[in-house]
Amino acid sequence: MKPPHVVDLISVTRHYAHGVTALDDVSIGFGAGTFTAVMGPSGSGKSTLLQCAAGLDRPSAGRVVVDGRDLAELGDRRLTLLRRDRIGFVFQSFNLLPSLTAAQNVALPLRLAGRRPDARQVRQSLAAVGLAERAGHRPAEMSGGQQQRVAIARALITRPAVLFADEPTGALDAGTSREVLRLLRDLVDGQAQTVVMVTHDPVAASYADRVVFLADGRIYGELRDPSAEEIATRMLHLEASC
Amino acid sequence: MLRIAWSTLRVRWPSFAGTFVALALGAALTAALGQVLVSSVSSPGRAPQRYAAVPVVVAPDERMAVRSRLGESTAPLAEPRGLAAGLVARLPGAVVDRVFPARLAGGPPAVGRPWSAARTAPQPLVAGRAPAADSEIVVTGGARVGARARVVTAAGARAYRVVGLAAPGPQPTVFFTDERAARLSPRIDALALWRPVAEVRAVLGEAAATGAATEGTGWSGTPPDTAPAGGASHAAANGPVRDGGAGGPVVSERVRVLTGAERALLDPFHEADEEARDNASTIAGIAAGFAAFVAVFVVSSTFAFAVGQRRREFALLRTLGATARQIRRMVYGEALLVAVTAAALGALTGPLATGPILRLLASLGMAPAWLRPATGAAPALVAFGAGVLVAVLGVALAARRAGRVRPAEALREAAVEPRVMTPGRWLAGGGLLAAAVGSMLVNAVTDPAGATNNKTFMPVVMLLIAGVGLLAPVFVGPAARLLAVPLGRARGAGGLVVTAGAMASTRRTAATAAPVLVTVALAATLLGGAALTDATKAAMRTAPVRADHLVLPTGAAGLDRQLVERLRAVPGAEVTTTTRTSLYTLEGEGTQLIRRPAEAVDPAGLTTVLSIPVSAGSLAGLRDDTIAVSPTWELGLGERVRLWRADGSPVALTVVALLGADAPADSYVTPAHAGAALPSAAYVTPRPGAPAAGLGEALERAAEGHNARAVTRAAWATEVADGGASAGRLGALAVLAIMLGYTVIAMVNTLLMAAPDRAGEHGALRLLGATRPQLLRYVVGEALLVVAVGVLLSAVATALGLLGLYAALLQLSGPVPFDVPWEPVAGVIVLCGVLAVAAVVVPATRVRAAAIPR
Repeated sequence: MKPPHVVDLISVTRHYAHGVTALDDVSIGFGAGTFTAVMGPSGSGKSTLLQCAAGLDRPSAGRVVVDGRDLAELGDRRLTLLRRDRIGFVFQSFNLLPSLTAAQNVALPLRLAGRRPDARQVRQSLAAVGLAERAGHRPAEMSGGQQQRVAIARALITRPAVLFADEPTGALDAGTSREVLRLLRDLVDGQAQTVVMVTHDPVAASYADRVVFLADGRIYGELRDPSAEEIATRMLHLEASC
Repeated sequence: MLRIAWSTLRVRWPSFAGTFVALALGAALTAALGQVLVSSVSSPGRAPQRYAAVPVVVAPDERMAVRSRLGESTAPLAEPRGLAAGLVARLPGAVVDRVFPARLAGGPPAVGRPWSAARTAPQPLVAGRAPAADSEIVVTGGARVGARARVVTAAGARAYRVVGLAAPGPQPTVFFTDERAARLSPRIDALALWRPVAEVRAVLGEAAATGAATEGTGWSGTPPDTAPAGGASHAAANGPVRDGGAGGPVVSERVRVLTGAERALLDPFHEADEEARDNASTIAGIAAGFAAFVAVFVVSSTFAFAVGQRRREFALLRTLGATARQIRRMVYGEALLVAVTAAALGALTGPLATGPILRLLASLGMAPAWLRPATGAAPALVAFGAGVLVAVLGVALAARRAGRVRPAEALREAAVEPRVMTPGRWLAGGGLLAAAVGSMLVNAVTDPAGATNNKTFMPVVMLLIAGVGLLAPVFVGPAARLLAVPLGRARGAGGLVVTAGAMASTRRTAATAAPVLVTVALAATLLGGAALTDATKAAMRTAPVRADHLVLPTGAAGLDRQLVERLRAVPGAEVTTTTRTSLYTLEGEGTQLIRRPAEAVDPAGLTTVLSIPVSAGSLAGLRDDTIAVSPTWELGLGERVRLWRADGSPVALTVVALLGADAPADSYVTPAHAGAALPSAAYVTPRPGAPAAGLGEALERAAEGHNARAVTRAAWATEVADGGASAGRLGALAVLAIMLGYTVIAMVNTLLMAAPDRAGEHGALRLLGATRPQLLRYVVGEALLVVAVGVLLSAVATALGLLGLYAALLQLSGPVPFDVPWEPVAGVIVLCGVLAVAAVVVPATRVRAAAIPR
C-alpha cells in the first residue's frame, strides 16, 4: 500500500513581479519517510517550489497541504506556528545565529515556541549529528560541515513532519558534503524522517530515493534510486533542451 | 526572547553601541540642560550688597496700584517716587540715602550717593578723608586723591576735588557731602536704620495715621485698600503726598520695611539680575527643547538604522518559526535593555555638566555668573523617563518594520533594499513640512512681529528639519545623481563605485545624512535667522531717522540737561531730543495694568528729524494732550485713553495718529509726560539756511566731558547694523555650541555603525584588484558624497525657514540686505566633512585583501 503524502502540492503556480512565472501548474506529493531530491538548472523554480512547500512563500494559485493542513487557510501567525512545529529547514548558508552556541542554536526553535529546552533533548540531537562534544562552541569556531550538522540538529529538534533542505551541501567541500548527505540518508532510513532536498549536484541527488527534475517551472519527469551518472546524463539533456 | 536579545547584543555590539551612545548623550544633554534650567530658576539671588551692613532699610513701595474690574492690578513703577521727607524726622538716627546718576567724565557708569550712606555696604575709606565741602567728593576708583575730576549728573558736568578713595562697593560710586547730594537729588530713596525692626514699624504705624506713610506688607502682601474705584492708588484722600507745596516731587505713600535677604531687593543690579536670570532660563529652555528634539531625531534614526541592518537575522528567525509578534518583542526587548542602561547613565552623568554649561553661558554673557548649579534629582529623573520613552517610541516604527520581515528574505541574498518611503513616512514628512510652511505663512501674514520671536521661529525650524529629514530618502537618489555628475566624468571606477554605493542603500545614506542635515540646517537657520532679525531691527531703528547728526549718551544715564542746553546753543543747530519713558494702561478689558514703552519727543522735531511711518492720522497733531500709538494698542483715531505716566501720575490723552507696523517705537508723546527721565538721544539738523559744515565738530566739542558722543547718521547706521551680536544671536550660538557636539557625535556614530556592513563590500573591492589607496579614495568619496547630500538637504530646510522669516520681516521693514553668516556655517560643514572622512577611513584601513566577504 502506498504511504500517505506528508506534503502535497496541487496545481501550484507562482508568479513574480514583471511577469516571471517561477512555478507553472506543478502538482507533486512527498510521501512519509521518503528522501526526494529536486533538481533543475538555475532559474528552474526549484527554490520557489521548496519555499512554497515549506510555507515560506505563498503560491499565486493552487494548494499546498502539509501534514494534512491546507496552508492557504492559515494566517501568518498559524502558518508560523505550523512551520515551527512541523517543518524543519536547512539552508545552503547554514544560517546559524553567530551570537549563540551550537546548543543554543539547536534549542532556538523550542525557545521560540515558548518551551523550556530540555538539556538532554538538545544533547541527544547534537549527538545524533555527531557533535555532542561541540555543544558549547559558537558557529565561528566550527567547520562548515559541522555548522551544517548543527543546522540539521536544529531543524530536527521539534521532530518535524518534513525536513526541507535548500542546497545543503552548496557551500561544502566533497568530504564534508558526504558527511551531511550520509546523515540525511540515515535520518530517513533510521527514523523514517521525510526529507525534501533541492540541489544541482548529481552526487548529492544520488543519495535520494527519488529525483524530480524541474525546468521552466514545470516537472520534467523523475528517476527512482538513480546513480549519479544517470542523474548527470538526464541533467545534461534537460539543460540542452532548455 | 530576552536571552536571545542579550546574546545578539553581545555580537551586534557596534549597532547597539551606536544607539547606546546616541541615547546616553541625548539623556545626558537633556538632564544637563534641564538642570541648567532648574538652576536658573531656583538659584538663590545674590546676598544683599548695598545695604549689607544695615539691619533695617525703609524704602518706598515703588509700585502703582489701580482699581480694575477684577480687583486691584499693580505694576512696578518705571520712575521711582521716593520717600516723604517727613519720615526722616520721625526716624531719628536714620541715614538718608539717595541714589542718582553721577559719573566721572569718561569713567565707567556710576551712581552718586551721600557720604553718610557709605556705611551701609560698608565702603570705608581706603585713602584720604570724607568730603566736607560742596566741591569735594570721594570715589571708588577712576581718580587719584587730590585730583580734580568732572562729574556728570542729571544737571550737567561740574568739577570736584577728589578728597578720598572708598572701598569698591557693589558698583562704582561717587560720594558727595550729604547736603550736596540732597541738592543734586532731592528724592529720598531709602532710610538706613540701626534700630530694632519692631520699633521702626511702630513709628511707621504712627506716620500712617497722620497720612505721611503707610506700610505695605512687602512685595507679596496685599496693599491696604486706599485706591478709589477705578483710580490710581494715590489719587484721592490718601493721594500723592507733595513735599513742600504743589511744585514738589511726587512721593510714595507706601513704604516697605526690609530686613535680612529682602534688602537685596534694593541692590543696584537686582532688576538686571532677575532679567539675566530670565534670559538664562529662556536660553536653557530653548536649548533643552532642541536637545530633546535632536535626541528624538537621532535616536529614532539610529534605531531604525540598527534594525534595518539586521533584516536578514530577523528573516532567519522567522523561518525558524518566530512569529512577527516575537520579533517585535525582541526588538522592544533589546531597545529596553539599551534604553534603560543608556538613559540611566546619561541621566546620572548629565547633571555633572551643569556647572560647565553655566560657566559657558556666563562667559558668553548669556547667564549671570552667580547662578549656582541646582542639585535636585528631578531633571535626571525626567531625562531618564524621557530617554526610555524616546527609545520605545523611536523603536516602535522600527519594530513594526522588523515584524513585517518575510521569512523567505533569509533565503535571498537581498542586496536591494525594500521600499524606504512607506506611505506613513510620506504622510508624516509631508505633514510636518506642510505644517512648518503653513505656520510660517500664517505668521507672516497675521503676526509678522511675532514670527521673528525665537519662541515662534525655533519650533518652525524643528518642524522643517524633521519634515525634510523624513522625506530625505526621496531626495537621496536625485541629490546623489546630481552631485555625481562631476564624479562620473572622472576616469576609472571611482565615480561609479561611489555613487552606486550611496544610491544602492538609500536608507543608509539617508540615515548618515540625517545628522549632517540637523547640524548644518540648525547652524544655518539659527545664525541666518538671527542675522536677518538683527538686520531688520537695525533697519527699523535707523530708517526713520532723517537728522544728519545724533548725540548719544555713552552709558544708560541719558543726556544731562546742561549738555542739551549746550547743544541747543550750537549755532545753526536744530536740536530735538527723544526720551524713553513708560506709560501704563489698563488692558485686557480693563483688568490688567500693562507697562508700555513710549518715546517722548518734541512734536516740532518729530516730523523734521524723524519720519515715522503712520497708518492713520498725523503726528503733526501731537500735543501735550494727545498721543500716537501702534496698532497693538487696539485703539481708534480720536479715542481718549486713560493712562498713567512713569511716576504713576494719571493722564488722559487723545489718539491723533496710528503708527505703522514698522514704526521704531510703540507710542509717541510730548516731553511733558516724560517726567524726570533724561533724553536718550538728541537729533540735530542744520537750521534752514545755516551752513552744515562744521556742525559735527561743534557738536563733538559740546558733548565733550558729558559722557556723550556726536556721530553722523551714516556712521550711526553702520554702527547699529554692525552691532551684530544681539542677545538672539548669542543665544543661537550657545544653543548651537551645545547641539553641534551632539549631532556631530551622532554622525560619527552612524558611520561607525555602518562600517561592519561595508567591510565585506570593501574586502570584495580589494579582491577585485583595488589597491588600498584606491579603496580609501572610494570610501572618502562616498563619505563626502553623503555629507554633500546632507548639506543639500539642509540647504532646502534653511532656504524654506529663512524665506518664511524674510516674508515676515519684509512687512516690518521692507527689503533688508543682510549678511549670511557663511563663515560659521562653512565651518560646520567642513567639520562634518572632516569627521565623516575620519569615521570611515579608520575602519576601512583595517580591510585586508584576505578578508573574503561572508
